[in-house]
Amino acid sequence: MKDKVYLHPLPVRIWHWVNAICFFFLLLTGLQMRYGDVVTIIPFRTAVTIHNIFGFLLAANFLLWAIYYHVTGKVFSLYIPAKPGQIGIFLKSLIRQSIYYGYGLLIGERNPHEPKPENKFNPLQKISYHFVMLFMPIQILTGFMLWNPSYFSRWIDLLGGILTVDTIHVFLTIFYLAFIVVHLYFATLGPTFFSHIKAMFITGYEEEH
Amino acid sequence: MLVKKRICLLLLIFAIFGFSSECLSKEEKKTCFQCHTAFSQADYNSSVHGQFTCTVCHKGLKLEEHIKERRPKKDEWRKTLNGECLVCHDLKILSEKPNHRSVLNQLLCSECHDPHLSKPLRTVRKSIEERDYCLKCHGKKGLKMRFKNGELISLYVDEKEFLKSAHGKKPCTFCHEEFSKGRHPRKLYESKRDFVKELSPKACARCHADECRRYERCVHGASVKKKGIAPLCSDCHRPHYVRIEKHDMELHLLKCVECHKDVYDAYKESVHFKAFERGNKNAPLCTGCHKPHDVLITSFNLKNNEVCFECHKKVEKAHVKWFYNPPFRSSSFVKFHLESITCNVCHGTEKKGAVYLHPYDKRTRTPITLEKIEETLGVKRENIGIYLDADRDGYLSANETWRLFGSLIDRKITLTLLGWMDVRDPVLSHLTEPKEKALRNCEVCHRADSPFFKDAFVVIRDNYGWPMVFRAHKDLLSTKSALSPLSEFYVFGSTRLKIVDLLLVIAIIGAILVPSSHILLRIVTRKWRREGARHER
Repeated sequence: MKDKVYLHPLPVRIWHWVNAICFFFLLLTGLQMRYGDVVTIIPFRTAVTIHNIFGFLLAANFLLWAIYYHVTGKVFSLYIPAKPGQIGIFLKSLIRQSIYYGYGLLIGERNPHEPKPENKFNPLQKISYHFVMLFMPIQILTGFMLWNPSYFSRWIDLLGGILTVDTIHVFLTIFYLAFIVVHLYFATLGPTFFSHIKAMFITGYEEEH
Repeated sequence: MLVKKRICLLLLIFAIFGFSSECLSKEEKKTCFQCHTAFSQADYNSSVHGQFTCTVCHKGLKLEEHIKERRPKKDEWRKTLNGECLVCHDLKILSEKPNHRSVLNQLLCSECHDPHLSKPLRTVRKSIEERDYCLKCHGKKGLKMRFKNGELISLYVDEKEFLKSAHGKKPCTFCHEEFSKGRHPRKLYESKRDFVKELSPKACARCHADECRRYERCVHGASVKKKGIAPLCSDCHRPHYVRIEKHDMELHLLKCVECHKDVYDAYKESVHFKAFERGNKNAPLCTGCHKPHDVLITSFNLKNNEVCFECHKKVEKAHVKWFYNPPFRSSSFVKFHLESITCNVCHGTEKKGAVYLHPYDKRTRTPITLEKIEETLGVKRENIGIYLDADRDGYLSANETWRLFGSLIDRKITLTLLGWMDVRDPVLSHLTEPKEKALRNCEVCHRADSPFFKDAFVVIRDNYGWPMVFRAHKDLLSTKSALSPLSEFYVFGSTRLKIVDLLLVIAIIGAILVPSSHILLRIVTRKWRREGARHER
């Protein structure tokens, strides 16, 4: 039997799936609100209501994450790709990890990254999650501004106008949409199709490669 | 020469006395006053005609016959006698005096001058008030003036009504300053309009300077300057009978209807007029919304709703009951909409809107006026249209706006187009419907295919507020060129940038291609992995 490592504690798993549900509904309702002329699955007002509720939930969830990871200091070990002096090393490992997914995985090589609780993300995960979480406050704040432009008018002016705010929000949506599609695919690249999903959803234990 | 004059005078005296010798003699004047007691002989004697015997004017009277003869009707009698005045008062000389010329064919002498009690002019002028002096003629209903174009107006002033009016305490010459008790210049006008224009608003401005200054800047005043047919002061306010009555339907509604009949037809069906008919004194008539001396072009105006809020003070609270962005109710969300949509886009009968874009300087938050464009870009007013619509297709496109943005930024002006959703038909917008019929459907605006975004206009005003309106190409609202000039105008779902849509499509395709090509590679390389695993074993 292969060794298992406890990578995903229950609070992290709950946080992850709340985040996932929020993103799912936010993306769907966001696209519905924006492209109501192309396709109408749910009425505009319902889409707005769902979008806003999940938007606030996402914001609260992000706040929890931010507090937890900053208080524990894990944000630096897990989400900051490299310390200033180690960027070269990180880049090398990033290339190695990319080569693994592009070639090594295809010929059956071992994953160069050994996940441990204090270093559970591989370099590709690290860089992508880094930006996912870095952009999150921007996405949430621009969401707030679009939710009530009059109330946040000063912030909107600082950013150069409501159209700019919306453009930022939509650019980041495109980023998250692309990320989620790739993320979902990578989630299936474990030892078995469901092993990563199972670990994240039920057990918290990842099999070592 | 002197001898000749004396002979003439003697002949005249002889003629007068000789003429009357056949009739009643001077001594017999007393006889007349025995019956004609309406005024005393002493009063008559002190009048301007007191030196003459009765028969100088009342010719051919013989005492015996006069008692027996049938009395003629009063009017006929006066008309007959009017000719006697002209025996002495030469018609030609009278015609040269403007105050007489205009009335010679309309009034009898005795209607203004009492033949028996008239005092010498100098005495009269001194003894009576100016108004009474003017009203001696202008208090007669028949007094009229005809203009060169044939128009006829009454010069009659009802003294009682005048005294009750707001101007009742002013002397006539306060407004009619060219006239006085001793001066009545002869004035000839082409038309009634020319006559009115001479006094209004010049004379009115002496007291109502503020109103006149505002009037000159409003649509009516500006139209008058351009020789339009807009009303002058006295077209709305009857200067001799002006009253201050807030709910005067004649002044606050019917005067406007004389020109704006189509607006009235819409307005009379509105909730406002129906409320007025029910007796609600707060319901606005025309002037309730269009401030009487500040009548501005309400369309294309960024501050359209302010006039509604003067009465509808709790409008935010009323809307927030249903109009909010979930999950929280926020009046600022309502405010945001009220600051960008004319009330009657939703509350009017038309239920249609159009986008009006107003150029502003983003740094100073001041409007970019036609004068400013003239000054900064050196383009003459008449060429501004051609300058902005360079391809002359009748539309202001995104590229043309971008070019303007570029030209202005070189001169340290940051163009931003502030958007406003306004009604399309300004006439129908007066038919405000009950709130139950108001538009409550968000999708009407928040969709790319919204009919409200079908028409867009760019409105540039001059310093007086007069607009130059350009049709805007629809691409102005949705291309990347709009990102800077239109950074402050955005309607969710309706004005999305095409380039962002394109990026979304590319991202989705890319996101699907990456895993699917990887899956394909994994399928192709399955054999290699199996062989590798076998080797490991």
